[in-house]
Amino acid sequence: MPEQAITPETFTATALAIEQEVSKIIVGQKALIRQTLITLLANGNALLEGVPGLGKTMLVRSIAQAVDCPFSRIQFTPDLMPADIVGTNIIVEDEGGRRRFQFEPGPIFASLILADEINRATPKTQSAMLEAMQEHSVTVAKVTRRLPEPFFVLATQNPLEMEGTYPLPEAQLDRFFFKLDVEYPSVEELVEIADRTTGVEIPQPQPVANGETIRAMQQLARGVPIAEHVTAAAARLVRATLPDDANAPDVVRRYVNYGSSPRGMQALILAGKILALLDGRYNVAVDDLRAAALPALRHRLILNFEAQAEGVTTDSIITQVADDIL
Amino acid sequence: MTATVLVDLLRPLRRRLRLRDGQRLALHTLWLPLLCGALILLAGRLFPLPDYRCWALLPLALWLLIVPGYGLLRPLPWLYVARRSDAELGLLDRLATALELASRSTQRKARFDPLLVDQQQQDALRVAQTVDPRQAFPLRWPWQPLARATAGLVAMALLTWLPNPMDAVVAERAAIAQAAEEQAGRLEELAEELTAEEGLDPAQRQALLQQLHQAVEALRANPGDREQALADLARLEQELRRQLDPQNAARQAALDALASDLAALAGIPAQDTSLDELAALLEELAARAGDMSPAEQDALARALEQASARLASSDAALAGALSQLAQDIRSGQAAGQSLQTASAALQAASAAAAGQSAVAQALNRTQDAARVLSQAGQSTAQTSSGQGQGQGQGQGQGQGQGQGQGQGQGQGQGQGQGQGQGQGQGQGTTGGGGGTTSRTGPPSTRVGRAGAPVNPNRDYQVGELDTVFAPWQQGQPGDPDFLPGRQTGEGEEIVRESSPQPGAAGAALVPYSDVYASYAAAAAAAMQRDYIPVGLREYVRDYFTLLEP
Repeated sequence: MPEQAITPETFTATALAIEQEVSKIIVGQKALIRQTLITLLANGNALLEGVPGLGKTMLVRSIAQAVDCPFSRIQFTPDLMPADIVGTNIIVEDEGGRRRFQFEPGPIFASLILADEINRATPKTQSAMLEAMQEHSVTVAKVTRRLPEPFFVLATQNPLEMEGTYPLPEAQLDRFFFKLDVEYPSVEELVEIADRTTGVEIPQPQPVANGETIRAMQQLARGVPIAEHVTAAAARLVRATLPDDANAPDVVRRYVNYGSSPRGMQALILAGKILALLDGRYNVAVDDLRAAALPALRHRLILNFEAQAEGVTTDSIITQVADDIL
Repeated sequence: MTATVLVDLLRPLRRRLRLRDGQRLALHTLWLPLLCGALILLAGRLFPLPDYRCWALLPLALWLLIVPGYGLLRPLPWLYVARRSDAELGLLDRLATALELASRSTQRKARFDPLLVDQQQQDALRVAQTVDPRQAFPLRWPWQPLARATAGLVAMALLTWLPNPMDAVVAERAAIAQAAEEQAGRLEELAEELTAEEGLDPAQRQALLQQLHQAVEALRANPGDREQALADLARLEQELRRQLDPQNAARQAALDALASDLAALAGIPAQDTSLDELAALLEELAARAGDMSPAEQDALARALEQASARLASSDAALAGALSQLAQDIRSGQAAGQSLQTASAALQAASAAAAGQSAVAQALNRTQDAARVLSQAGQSTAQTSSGQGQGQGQGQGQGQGQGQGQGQGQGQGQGQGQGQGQGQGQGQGTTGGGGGTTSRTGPPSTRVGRAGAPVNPNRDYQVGELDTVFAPWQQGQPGDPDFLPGRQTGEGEEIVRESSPQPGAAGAALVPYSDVYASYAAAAAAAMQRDYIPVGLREYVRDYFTLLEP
C-alpha cells in the first residue's frame, strides 16, 4: 500500500494538472499527452512512433518535470550494449587501497526513461530492456536490483529510415502498454510552437506531483469498479481480433495473422479505469474501452501480407472490430 | 446501498421502456399482418376461396394477440433495464455497474476500492433520480413504418370493398355443394323407400341400394365441383340405364291391353288394372269359360292370343302360357293346368315390373338430381356477374315446375300411349314457352317410352329435341318396335307393327337428352385429365353447362 492515499477527486485534479503542465511545453497533441499519462498511471510502458522532431523527448522530459521524478534518456544505437543500459560492476579502489567491484547503475535506474529510437539497437540490447519493463528490476552479475518506482519507459521508433534497424520482436512489442502515434502538428500548432520556443521566455513545467503521488494514483486506478458485462465486452473485443475466432469479423479473418494477447485486454481495462477517473466517473464504461482500443491493440495485431499490400492498417481493423463488438 | 433502492428507481424506467418498445414493435410490424391480409384478399380475387375475407383478418388477429402480449409480458430483467437506460441515456454504464455491484457477492466487490464502489453507487443513484422516464424514452411516430402500415390498410380496404368476380364462383360452389347435399338426401330417401319395397327381388334391391349409397357418398363428399357431381350422377344413371329392360314398356302395354280386353269381356268398366287384378280377372273368366257362349269363348281366346302375340318378344313365358290357355279355352278343355301356368307367369311379370319400376324411379331421381346440380348456383353467379341474364331467368323460373311435372307424368303416362307429351309451361322471359320434350314419332311406329318429359318448363335449347349419333347405345338398327293397340270404341282394334326406318328408329340416333349424361361425364373427365388454364376453366365449364338439355 502506498503511504499516500488519495481520493478520486484528487486523482482527477492531479492528472489534469499534469496534463496542463505538460501542455505548457507540448503544443497540441492532447490525445498523445492523455495517453502517455494513462500509460504512466497504469504503470505501463509506451512506444511512440513518429518522425524525429515532433517533441517526443520533450514530452517525456516535461512529464518528468511535472511529476518531479528522475529522468533518463537513452539513445539507442547499434553499438549500444546491455551494460550501457543497466549498468556494470567496475573496480574501485577504496581509501585503504583495496580494490573491489562496485555496481555502477546505468541510465535505466530512473523513474522515467526515454528509450530513443529503440529499434536501432541490436536485439541483445533490446532484450535488456525486457526485464526492466516487465519486472521493474535488472539483474547484473547475478544480482537483481529493483528499479525506482514509479518506473516508466517511453520508447520511440522512427517509421522512416528502417534500413539498419532491428524491428522490435512481437514479444517485446506486447510488453508495451500503449503504442502511440505522434501526429504531425497542424499549422496553428506549428505557429504556437514557434511562438513558445523562439521567444525570450521559454515556459517550464512546474512539478504538481511526485513519485509517491503517482504510485498512489496507480493504486487507486486499479480499484475502479467495472461491471461484468464491460469486462466481457473487453474479452470479446480481444477475442474478435483472433482470425480463428468464431466471432471474428471478416476483416480480421482476411487481414490478420495473429491477434491480441491477453495483455491487450488487461491494457484495455486498466486504461478504461483511468479514463473513467479522468472523466470524473467511478466505473468503467464500454465507451472507455472503445477509446482505449486503438493504442492498446494496434501493436498487438500482426497483419498478413495481403493487408500490407492493400494498405490496410491495424487502426482501421481495430475500429471495425470495435464497432462490431462493442 | 441495496439493490432494492436502485430497483425502485428503475421501475418507472422499465414501465416506460416496455411501453416504448411495445409501441416501436407494433409500429414496425403492423405492416406485416396488413400485407398478409392484403395478399389473402388478392388470392381471393384470383382463386375461389370461401370466406377469404375472414381469413384475411386472421393475420391481424394473430398480430393483435402476439405483439401486445409480447410487449406486455416479455421478461425485462433489471440489469437489462439498467443497461438499456445506460446505453440510451448516455449514462456510461453507471446504472448497470451500480446494480451489479449492489447485487453481487462481496467477494467480487472486494476486488475494487470500497471507496470507489460506494461513490459509484451514490453517483448512479444521483443520476437515476434525475432521469424522467417520459423524456428518457419518448414515444416517437416515425413516418416510414406508419406509411407502410397505412399502405397495407388501404390495400386491404380496397381489396375488401371492390367487387370481386370470384365471389360469384364461391357462391356458385357453395350452392352446388348445398344442392349436392340436398340431392344426396333425396337419393337416401329413395334408398329407404326401396328398402321398404316388398315386391322387389332382394338381389336387385341390394344392387340398387349399393349404387345409390355410392352416389350419395360421392355427392356428400363433393366440395362444390359441378363437373364431378354430374359425372358421379352420370355414372349412376348409366348403370341404371343398363338395368332397364327395353321390352318392359311393350310388355306393360300388352298386359294393359289384355286387361282392357278381359274387362270388356267381363263386362266391367275399363280402368287401370294391376297385374294381381289381371290375374284374378283371368282366373274368373277362365273358370266361366265353360258357361260362355262360343262367341264369348272365341273372343276370350282371341284376346289371349293377341296378348300372347304382343308378349312374344318381351315375355316369352307369359306369351306361351297365354297361348296355351287360349288353346284350351278354344278347345273347350279344362284350363286348370294352363291357368296355373299363366298365373305363375303373371307373378313373375309382376316381380319384373316392380324391379323395373324401382330402377325407373331411381333413374328419374338421378336425372332430377343431375338437372338440379347442373343449374345450381347459376342464377346467383350470373346475376352477380351481370352476364347471361336472359338465359339465367328462363332457367331459374322453369326449374321448379319442371321437376314436379316431369316426375308425375314420367311414371303415369309413359306406358301405353303412342305419343308421350311433356306438359311444360314455359315461363322463361327470353326463350318463349315450351321446354316441351315431347317425342312425336312417326304415326304408330314408336312406343310410348317418351311419355316421361325430361325437362318441362325449360326454354328450348339447342339440341334438346334433336337426335344425335350414338352408336354405342343399346339396340340395333332394324329392331322392331311394338306399339300396343288402342281401342277405338267401335269394336275394332288397331294394331300396327312398326317397320324400321333408316335413321329414325335405329338405336344409333338417340335423343340428345339421353346421351348428355355421357357427354357430361366425358367432359368432366377431360377437364380433370387435361391441363386447362385457371382463367379459362370457368369458360370451359360454362360451355359444357350450356350443352345440357
